[in-house]
Amino acid sequence: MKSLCRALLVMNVLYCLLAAFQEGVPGWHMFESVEPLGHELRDRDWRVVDVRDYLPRGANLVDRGELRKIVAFVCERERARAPFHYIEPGTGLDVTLGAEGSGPKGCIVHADR
Amino acid sequence: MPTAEGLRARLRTLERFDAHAVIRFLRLFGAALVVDVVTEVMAGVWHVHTGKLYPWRNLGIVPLYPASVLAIEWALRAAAGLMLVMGARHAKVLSAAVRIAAPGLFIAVLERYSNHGVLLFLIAFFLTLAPLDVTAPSFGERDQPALGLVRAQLAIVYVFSAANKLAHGFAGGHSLSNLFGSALPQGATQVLSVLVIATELALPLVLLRWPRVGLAGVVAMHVGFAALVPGVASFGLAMIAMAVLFAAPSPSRRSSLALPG
Repeated sequence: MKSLCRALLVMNVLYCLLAAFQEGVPGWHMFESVEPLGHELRDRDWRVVDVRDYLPRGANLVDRGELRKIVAFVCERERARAPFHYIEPGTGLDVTLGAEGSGPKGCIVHADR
Repeated sequence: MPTAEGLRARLRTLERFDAHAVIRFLRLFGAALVVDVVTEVMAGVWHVHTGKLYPWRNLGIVPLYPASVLAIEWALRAAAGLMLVMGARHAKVLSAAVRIAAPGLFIAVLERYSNHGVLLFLIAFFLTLAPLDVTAPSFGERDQPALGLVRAQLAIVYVFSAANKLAHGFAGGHSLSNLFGSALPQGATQVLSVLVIATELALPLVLLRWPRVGLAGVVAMHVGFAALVPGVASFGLAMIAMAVLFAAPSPSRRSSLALPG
């Protein structure tokens, strides 16, 4: 039992080292890099859409990439309110999403910023 | 030097545990499991599985299962937690509880990845490795390597969390500024950020040398986190549970819960 536990401990530490150096590998990352997430999403009637209404309560959004995926989810789910206007003041991104006849790909936020 | 000698003596008995502390750890861990389920219910995770909400933290390895299966998952995890809270002294109850909790938590992590989910799973998994019987005679005099893994996990979480924060520039305070918005001034977030890193690095050593002081530090830090950041209460409870395990086996009182006769 002792040798099994020691082997598990070594594997555990080695995995944590890998996760520390390899981007995208889940590890003990806790609020270490919260990006500025200022944004605005409006529907075709220019009403503001709060993306938090589409997340579990208390979900801590820390990553701009994930924010954009949630925006795409909202656009896809609420097609009746499309097209959507999505703005990120911090990056200068200003796009229209879900335009008529654009299909599912029309909701994806394509941006290199 | 007495401090160094004390630390060396502590290191020699690193896999020995006080039975009373183990009971408290198991009950707190059980409470963390229950709080985790309650938090998910209150947060509306149900609607993640009905498709109404974004598939939050789904890793994409296993597709989200229907909400009816989620109800079973929640029931099993909550039952395991309650069994630990109420039956931690009974070896069979404890064994059944961790065997229910570990696979349930593993599936939950695949469905909805979270740090607290991983932590709860690891604790449950470590507890399945060796059957625990805290009422056994001389429990405190025998090595408990699986509990040693649980205690080591606390140090791993704090040290790697601090290291990752240092590597990503967390000490500058911008992450907390972005997290809290204008609720805290920039100067305060910078001080708080440095304090968090320093505390995370110091706590494992303090727990090893001065367990009560360390436990107070862990409680203070996680109560603070829970007050400021939503959804982290079960993580804090699990960390407090592990910190309780640092209590040294006391020679001044019986270290097992064996019944007389």
